[in-house]
Order: sequence, then structure tokens, then C-alpha cells
Amino acid sequence: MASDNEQLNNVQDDAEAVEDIVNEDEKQESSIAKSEFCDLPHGEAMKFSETYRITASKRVNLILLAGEVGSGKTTLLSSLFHLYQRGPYVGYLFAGSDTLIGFERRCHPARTSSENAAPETHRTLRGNTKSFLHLRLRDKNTKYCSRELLIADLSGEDFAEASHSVDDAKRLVFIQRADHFVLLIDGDKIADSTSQRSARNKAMMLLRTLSDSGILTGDSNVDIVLSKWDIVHSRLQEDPSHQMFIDELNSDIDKKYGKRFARIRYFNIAARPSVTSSDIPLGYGLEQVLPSWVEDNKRTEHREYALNRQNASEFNCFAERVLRGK
Amino acid sequence: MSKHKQFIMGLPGAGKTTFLAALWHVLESNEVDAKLKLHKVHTDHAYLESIRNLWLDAKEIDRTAISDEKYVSMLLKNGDDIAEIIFPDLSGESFRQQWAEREIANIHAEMLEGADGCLLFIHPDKVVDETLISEVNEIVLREEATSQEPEDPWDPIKSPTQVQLVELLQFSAYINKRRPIKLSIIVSAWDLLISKYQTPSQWTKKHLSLFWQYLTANPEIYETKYLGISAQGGGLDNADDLRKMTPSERIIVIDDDKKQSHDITLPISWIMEQ
Repeated sequence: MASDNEQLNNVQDDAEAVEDIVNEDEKQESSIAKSEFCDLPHGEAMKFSETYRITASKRVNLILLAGEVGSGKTTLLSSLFHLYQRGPYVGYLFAGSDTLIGFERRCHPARTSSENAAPETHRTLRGNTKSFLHLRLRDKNTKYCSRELLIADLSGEDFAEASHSVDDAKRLVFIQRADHFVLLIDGDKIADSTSQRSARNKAMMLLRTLSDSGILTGDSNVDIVLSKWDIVHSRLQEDPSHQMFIDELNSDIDKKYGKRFARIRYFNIAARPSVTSSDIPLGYGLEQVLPSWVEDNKRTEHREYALNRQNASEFNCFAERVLRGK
Repeated sequence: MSKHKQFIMGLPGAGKTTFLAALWHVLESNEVDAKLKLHKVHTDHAYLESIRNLWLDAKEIDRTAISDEKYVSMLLKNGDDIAEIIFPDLSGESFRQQWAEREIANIHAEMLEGADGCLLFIHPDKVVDETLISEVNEIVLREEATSQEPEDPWDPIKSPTQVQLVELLQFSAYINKRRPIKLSIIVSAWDLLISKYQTPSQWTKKHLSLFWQYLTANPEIYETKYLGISAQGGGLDNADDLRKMTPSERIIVIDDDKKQSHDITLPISWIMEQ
């Protein structure tokens, strides 16, 4: 007969064996539970590589929002989504988006549900590769098929680097693919005599570098957008000379680049006025610019090929060197 | 003979269980002339009877007060045509999970795949809208923002209802590979809206505009019918009045042509029509 110690050891061995079986069963249940579910599309802003499934099969317009930190790129995007939540906008119906989560993340800080005291927009982090938001729109008056928009919301810091050197700018080669290059200039800084000159200089430097590097070329459609127009408008009441500064800035851009790009247009936008009014409502100015973003595009013979094949490796190189940080 | 499969969807509290209770009563009682008749039930009758009894007594169908039955399936017939109606999750939590967790139970995906139609429930009192800080009265903001508490991080559950509904439909299109589908949009508790809105699509266009636009802009995928349904027939604070009525005649079903009836099988029979 086994001794007491042996019996105790046997009981302990049995208990450990049972525990092992229970743990194994739990693991199996967990793996079974996990295998009972399948993943759905993530809905976040896309990496460039993820845009292929849209660009490969549909007519897509690529809009690139550029500008220094805080100029209003992300706010413009979130306001556009806010507007569509209220109704059809400028003759287009919302027909879907593969990046609803991406839009929602950007919209949240401006909503009362965020419990912020004032509307905010989170800064797009430098090196953020998930930069492309998707919007599908449909003209409500025609039988045309839907139009796909891919709007790239890149970090202002990435553009700041690009404005300093042609080599850095050349890494932004995907800008060549953009149907619309939109340069946002911070209206809050332009309408402030302590910051307007540097703000002007930064905008001009970025245009110059992108043009000198061959990124912006003779078939580029460029929109110059003065953001935060509600603030500009208010400051103009106090100091009308700011308007002269703005006019001179636009005139200088026209003189230097008017013949180098296919088209340059100028807009004043208040994507999210600090206090909305009937004069400057939510999305003021967007109604002027959105229709052409939807309808106009660059048509090059090998555009589809370029987007899907040739430039993939170029963009990946860019992503590795710049967007992920040095 | 044709066989259809219909899938019931809706976020928590959208009115699916109350609809089921009323539907079960109409099918069982034959009090009103419904287009569809009961062919077979795949669910425990005890559960259906328990929610039916609560409905008959004009009491709130509190899910916590009854057994935890999430899945219901039944076969209804119109002549030789049979429709399989599947309520995959009466609680609606799985639909919320699809939006928040970005995953779907394989069994739900299998049920959805090959569905000929869906009934999507929306409760007007449960709609979460978005309000921008910039549009809130400045005085209210100052009063409410007295503390320096950190910003509330984004939680997908807080997203506006219409955004979640669009995504649910996008998921169903994704699973069905964008195959055309018939969709009955049911605005439940229609008794709350009947005096303010003439048609359910009118309410949807105003209060769920993004969702309405999405359906309107995708006719190749969705053939849509809007219905306003009050399964209870009125507020439960008027329960005494409701109990005096013939139960099936409490039910209000109204379509976008403003045709009104008690036939709660209409959203299902419409999907069966060729």
C-alpha cells in the first residue's frame, strides 16, 4: 500500500493534471471562440497601399491637403463629414465611405460628446501613414455613377521638411498623382501682423520647392485656400490693411506660378467657424471648391497604371524614409 | 414555390423584440387579415409566448425579465412562397459589436450571405445625433466647462446612430459582395411621430440624413421600402386604453404612400414580392 507521502504526491499529481486539462480546455474554448468571428473592414484612414482596391476599379479623384501645422487640413475634412451628416451638400449625396472610423476619430474632438470646452482638432502626427480618407459621392440630379474621392490628410511637419529642400520634396512624389493639390494657409497667422510674413514665406517656400523639384508641374491643379476666414473677417474689421497683404500674397503666387501650373485658384474657407452665424456658417467656402474636386481630374494615359504599379515602390520608399521618421 | 431568406437587424433598443411579440400574436390569433401565415417556428414557443403575454398586457418587454433568448427563426408563407425570417440577435449587441469591434460572428455572416432581404429597425427615441461645440450656446458651454477634466477619448459607441447604421449596411453589402437586396426600413414606435411626420421616409431624411442619402445614392444595391410601425399602438402610459382594444388592431403600420393597416407582416411580404 502506498505510503501517506506517496498518496499525497499522487493526489497532487492528479490535481496538476486536472489543472492542465482545464487550462487546455480554456485555451481551446478561447481559440474556438476567436475562430467563430471573422474580421470586417477596419474603417480607419488608409495607407496608400490600401487605396489600390479603390483606385484599381473605380474612377477616383485624389485630393492632397497641404499646409503647415495647424493650418486647418484635418478640420476641413471633419467639417465636410459634419456637413454630409446634415444633408446632401452642393448637389451631391453621400454614397458611402470605407473610412468612417477615420472620419469619426477626426470629428470627435469638435463634438459636445468629447466634453471639450472648445472645439479641437487633433494634430495629424508626423509620419502617420494612415492618411487617406475615402468618400463616395453621387450627383443627385443625374444618373452618373458615383465618384470616389481619396483625400490625403498629411502631417504639416512632413510638409515643413519638404519645403526646406528639393531632395526632401522629391520624396513627396505621390503629389504628382494628385488631381488637386490644396495648399492651406493659416488665416489666423496671415491676419496677424506678428506672424503674417513668416506664414507667407512658408507657403511660398513650399510652392517653390515643390515646383523646383518637379513635383508640381504644368498639369498640376493648385488651390490656394486661406483658412479660418471667420477670424480673418473679424480682424479685417479692425485693420483693413490685412486685405492688402492677402491680395499681394495671391498676386505674388500668381506671378511666380500662374504659368507653371495648369490652374491656380484662390478660396477663403471657414471650415469650422468658432461661432457659426448665418454669414459664416459651418463649412463656409467649401461649397465653392468641392464640386471641382469631384468633377475635375488629371487624365494621363497611364494614370491607372501609375497609381497601381509604378509608383507603389516609390511611395513605399517615401513612406519608409520620411513618413516613419528619420 | 419560392423560398426567401430575410435577416432582421437593428441596434439595441430598436424595437425588434416588441415587433416579434406583436408578429407572433398576429400569426397565432388570426385576428386581422395578414398577408402572411405561420408555416413553422424553429424557436422555443415558451419564449415567444412570454413576450406575447407582456405585449398583450401592454407592458414593457424588458429583456432582463425574460429568458435570454437571442436567436429566433420562423417560416412564414404566402400561398406557395415561403419566407424564412431570422432574428439573429434580439438584443442588438452583436450589431453594435460589428461597428465597435469590427468583427462579425461567422454564423451571422452565413445567415446574412444569400439573404434576399433585410428588415432594419430604428427607434426614434434611441437616435444619437451629433452636436458641434461651436454651435452650442456659449453661455451653456461656459457653465458646463467649469472643471479642467481631461477630454473624453473617442469611443465608437458614441458615434452618431446614422453613422453606425450606414456602416452596418456597408458591412452587409460587403458580406453579400454588393449583390442587390431588398430592404425594409422600419421606424418603430411610429405612434410617437404620427402627428408630426406624414411618412417614415420624411422622418428618416430629416433625422438620419446621412443614412437616407446612402440608401438613395445606392439604388443598385438597395431596393428600399420605408415603414412606420407601432407594434404597441401607443405609449405604455395609456396601457389601460390599449388593453381595451382588440390586440391586433393596436398595431399601426404605415408606408410611404400613407397607407395604414394592422398587418405587421407587410415589411416581410413586400420583400417576397417579385
